Amino acid sequence: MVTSGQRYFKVKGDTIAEAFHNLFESFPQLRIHILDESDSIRQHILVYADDSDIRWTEGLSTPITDCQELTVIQAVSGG
Amino acid sequence: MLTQSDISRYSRHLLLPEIGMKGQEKLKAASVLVVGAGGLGSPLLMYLAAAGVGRIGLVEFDVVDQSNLQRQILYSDSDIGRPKIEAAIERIQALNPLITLEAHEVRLTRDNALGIINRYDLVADGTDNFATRYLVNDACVLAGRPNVYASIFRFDGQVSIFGAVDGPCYRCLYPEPPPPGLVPNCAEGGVLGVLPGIVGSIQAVEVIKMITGIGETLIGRLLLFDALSMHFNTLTLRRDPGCPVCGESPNITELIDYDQFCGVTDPIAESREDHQKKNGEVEVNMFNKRPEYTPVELEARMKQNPDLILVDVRAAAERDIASIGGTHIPLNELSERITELEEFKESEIVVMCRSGVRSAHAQKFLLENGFGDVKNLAGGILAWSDTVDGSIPKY
Repeated sequence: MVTSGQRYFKVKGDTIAEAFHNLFESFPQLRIHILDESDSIRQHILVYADDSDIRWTEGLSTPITDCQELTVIQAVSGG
Repeated sequence: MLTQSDISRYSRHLLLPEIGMKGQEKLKAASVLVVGAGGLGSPLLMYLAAAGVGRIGLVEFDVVDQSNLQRQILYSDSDIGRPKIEAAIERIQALNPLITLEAHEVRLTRDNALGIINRYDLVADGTDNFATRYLVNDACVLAGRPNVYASIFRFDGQVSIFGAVDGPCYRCLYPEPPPPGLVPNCAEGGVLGVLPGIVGSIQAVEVIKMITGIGETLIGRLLLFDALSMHFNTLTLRRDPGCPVCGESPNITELIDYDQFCGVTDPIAESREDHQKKNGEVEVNMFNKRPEYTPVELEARMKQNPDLILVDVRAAAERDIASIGGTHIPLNELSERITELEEFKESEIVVMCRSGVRSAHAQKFLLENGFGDVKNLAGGILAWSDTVDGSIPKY
């Protein structure tokens, strides 16, 4: 698995893009799962800053504050 | 009107002020279509039947496999090989003979979906692939039917209600599916057997709340369940005004080709077409496909050519179950790790997986990226177990 099973991470960054950048430093294979070829969030990925979907704020440029919780989830299809 | 039999059977519901006689009558008058009688469908169908939902439709076309029994509790060992819909109806009707069950032993398609969905008040989606997820979503929006949605993967579950009045739809969350191969399905990535029991039961709760009008439903919220940390979390969802199916100016006004939308292709059939195009052939010829080895041929070839490069594109956990060696590069890491194979660009490479489908995708990818001689192991490790080495376990 791309994060060796780790599911929760502490990351730093002034924006969500920076937080992801720092996360990908540790887990480079995670990048392809979250960002597409144009560095946009993939269409089957949801990113929430606390309870806000960042698509409705400033996207990856959304500033983040100390202790803010980011939730990244992907569409899954199992039934 | 409830009968004496109904009153006896549903008395614990009748004692709940939130449900009572009126709520139970609503359940009796309701009709629900359950799409997929698998892991989620098992508890969902059983609880909806037990709760007294008056008419339940099932869409299912598969047969019971031994590997289903770890989580699909509708079925017993003696059902292996039987059509699921037959075994499911038998089991559910035995649980509650007072309700009506309707079997739709078909694969849901763009041609039949609206006709089936229109016969029911609401839909509960427990299918197992993205193409059907988008099909059910779009059909529900077009038919004006709420879709009580749940999906699972490994230890995680998601539940919401889509297509309800003023609520978002599945496309508002996930406008497009993941590229093929990026998100494994349960057959590739595994799933905790209990997980659909929990998530499918939550789905049943939401169906009952929708019918009876009680409580706060998951319309506009996505419930996330993480069985490993035992965390439940909900995210607030917004309807997307630009959504192509439920937005202000929808451009999907009839059902589309969902396999194409999801990039679902049969790489083996596709390889045949590629070859025919290349050779200007018109007639379908079963032998005109990208090159492959049968397991017996591969075994012989491995003896002849010790330098042959075998690449196993399955997940690591699959290799722990059964392996015939080779370099391990999971399909979803192949594009990132292709450089590891660079020195073998002119060598003979054989790709393999469990059944030959993922490796056919890997073969296509490698051929498109300049590798000259890439063959697929036809039938994968399952066929290897059948024809070369029976000691290799099948999973």
